[in-house]
This record gives sequence, structure tokens and C-alpha cells, in this order.
Amino acid sequence: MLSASAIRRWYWVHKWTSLVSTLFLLMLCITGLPLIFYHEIDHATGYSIEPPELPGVTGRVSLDEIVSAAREKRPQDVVTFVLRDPDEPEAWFVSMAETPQSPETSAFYMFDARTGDFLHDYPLNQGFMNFMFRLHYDMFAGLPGTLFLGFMGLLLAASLVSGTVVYGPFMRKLPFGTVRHGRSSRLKWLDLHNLLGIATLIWLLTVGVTGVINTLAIPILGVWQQTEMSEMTAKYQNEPPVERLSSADDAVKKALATVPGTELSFMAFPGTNFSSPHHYVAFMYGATPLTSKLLTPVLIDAANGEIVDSRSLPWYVKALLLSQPLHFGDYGGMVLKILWALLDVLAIVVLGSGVYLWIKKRNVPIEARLGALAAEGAAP
Amino acid sequence: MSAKAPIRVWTAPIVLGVLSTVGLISALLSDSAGDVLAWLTLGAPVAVVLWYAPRRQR
Repeated sequence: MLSASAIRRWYWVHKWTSLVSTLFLLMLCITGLPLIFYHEIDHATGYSIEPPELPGVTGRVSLDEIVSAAREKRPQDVVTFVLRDPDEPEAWFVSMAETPQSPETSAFYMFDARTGDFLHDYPLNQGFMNFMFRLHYDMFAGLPGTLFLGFMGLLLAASLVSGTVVYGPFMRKLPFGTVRHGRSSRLKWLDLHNLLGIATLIWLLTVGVTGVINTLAIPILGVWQQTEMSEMTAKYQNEPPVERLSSADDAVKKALATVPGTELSFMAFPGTNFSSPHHYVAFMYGATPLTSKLLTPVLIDAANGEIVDSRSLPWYVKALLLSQPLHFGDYGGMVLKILWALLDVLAIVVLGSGVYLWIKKRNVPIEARLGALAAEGAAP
Repeated sequence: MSAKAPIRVWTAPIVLGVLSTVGLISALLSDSAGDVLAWLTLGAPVAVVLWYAPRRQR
């Protein structure tokens, strides 16, 4: 049993971690709601398209043709990544930038993998969903914005833990799920805050903590780059930059043969944050539900097209990769997405009711509140 | 009404927490059966809220 002073301390933690973070958490919950259905909304609004039906056409053109076509469209830029989408096996995606290290993508194209035809030029940095994403991702403030939102996620975790601790004393004399309608509005919302908060606890804690891990994506990949990647490419350090890149199509084929039973997720061209100046790095995903979320990098020498190395990612990059589906809710079909949205709406009610309760009772000490609750809970 | 033993306070939250955890993980590990299990278990907190929130206390 918690002492009165322990309850008071935990309540203080709950109040202050919540008050500091609530506005940002409300913003994250509200912008996150449409982002759950990113894929569907992009297709419905024409931002993204699907490759045309071509019955009987099963061949695949060489990836090199597609890469050349992309370079012809933007001769001043370089190809940074070629990507696949497991839901669109007929498409190749090509991203380009002014330089391999440039933080801004200058173009994102969709090509037909069967014919090599150019299909779609994605409009970048515009539209409603991009606005929602940027608010949710970094509030248009770059890495500092992302890390700040990660800190808000840590406050959410502290608020959930402390809120769970004080749930016990508040509910001591009430059956689970009690909602006292018809007394004071504050009591009703306190009961709803407790019920919705405890019901969504594990989901909200999971989405919060995996969100925090996602905010660390850039530092996490930086550590991988500085350690494992540097080790694998150490002997190339003093070589001159590659002048003529070897075949990208060949690189993908060799990567597929190196790690059997996998498919290409994306391949980084030399010089990006995911590769080295001398290597293509193909990132392969596995065939089981779990390994399909993980990636195995394969390094290909971009001068002669030979496989250099392939080793599985360290635990901290795996943790980042697994925290993505757990944050996005995109790993269990449409029903899971709808549940994600419903749970998100419940989280918004928990946050809103928390603010309401604070405004209503901010000058009443916790002991008086617990006493009043017990008395009202005992009334017929 | 007398104070409840801690176990009475925490039974429902623990059951909901275990169900949520099972659902969050099952869809990661298995595609068809795991997805359905996730729908049922993660549906539980939503169902519990929809059941209790509008009910008038007798």
C-alpha cells in the first residue's frame, strides 16, 4: 500500500510530465490519425498511383535502363536510392538528389519494372499529408525538432507510469469501469480519464516508446555508419572515388544470390548515408513476417561489381526497424489500422480530459480529492 | 463499500495489458492467424471502453 506522501509524489510526477507534454502529444495524436492511412490517402488523392495492368507481360527490364532514364530526366542530379515496394511488385522507385549527401530529395520517380516506362513524378514537400507528416516528424525544425518530440515521448512514458501508480488509490473503492454519470461533470471525466487511460495503457506506452526510438533514427544510423560500415569498407578508404559505376542491375542480382530467400527493399547508390563512396549497399528483407521487417545489408564494389561483405545489422538498428511497424500499426491489415485509429482517438480523449481535470481542480490537494472520491464512491 | 484488495483493482488492467501485448506481438510474428489474434486482443481495450463508458452506475 502506498503511503499518502508517496501518492502525492507520484501524482506530482503525473501532473507535471503531462502538463509539459500534453499540447505536443495532442498534436502528435491528431496528425498521427491521418498518417495511419498514409498509403490509402495518397492513392485516393492521386498523389501516388498504381502501375497499369499489363496482362501477359511478365518480363522485367534491366534496372540499368531505369537508372539511365532517371538520369536523363535530371542530368544535373545523382541517383541516391532505388527502391521496391512489396505491395507494388511491378514498380521500381528511384530517388535523386543534387549530391549523394544532400539532405533534400530532388525527385522521386516511379517506373514500370516490366517495360521500363516512366510512370509517375511524386510531388515533393507539398500537400496536406506532407504537412501532417512534417508536423508529426519534426515540426519543420529538422533534427532538433525530431529529438524534441522524442523527449515529449519520454515524458509520455513517465506520465503513463506515474498515472498507473495513482490509478490504484483512486480505484480502491470503485469497481472497474465505474463511470459516475449524473454527479459532477468533473467526477464523470475523472472516471473516463481513468478508464480510457488504463484500457489503452500498453498500446499507448508501446506507440510512445517506439516513437521515441524512431526519433533516434538518424543518430542510430550514424553509429552504424561510423562502426560496422567503416569496418567493412576500411580497406577502400584511400582509394580514389569511383568514376564509372558498375551495373546496378547486376549488383541487385548478386545481392539476391548472396542472401538466399530474401527480396530487395532498397539499394543505396555510392556516397549516401546508407552506403560508402565506393559501394552500393543493397538492403534485403526476409520472407517470414518477422524477418520481412528486418534488413540485411549487402555491400557491392561499385567499381568492379563484386560482392564485398554482408553481415546482419546490429541489435540497435534491428530495434529501430522493429519499432517502425509497432509505431505505425501497418503490419496487420486494414483492421489493425482501424484499431490503431480508434485507440488513437481514445488517447486524444485521455489527454483532453487530463487537461480538463487539471483546470477544474488545480487548487485542491490530492488528499482532499481522494477523500472526496471515497465519500462519493460510497454514496448510494 | 469497503476498500478492495489490490488484486481486485488490478485484475482487469492486467488482463487488458496482457491482451494488448499479445496482439502487438502476434501480428509481427505471424501473418494470417497472428493478424486475426491481434484484431481480437487489441479490440478488447476498445470494446471495454465502449461497454463501460456510457453505462450509468446503478
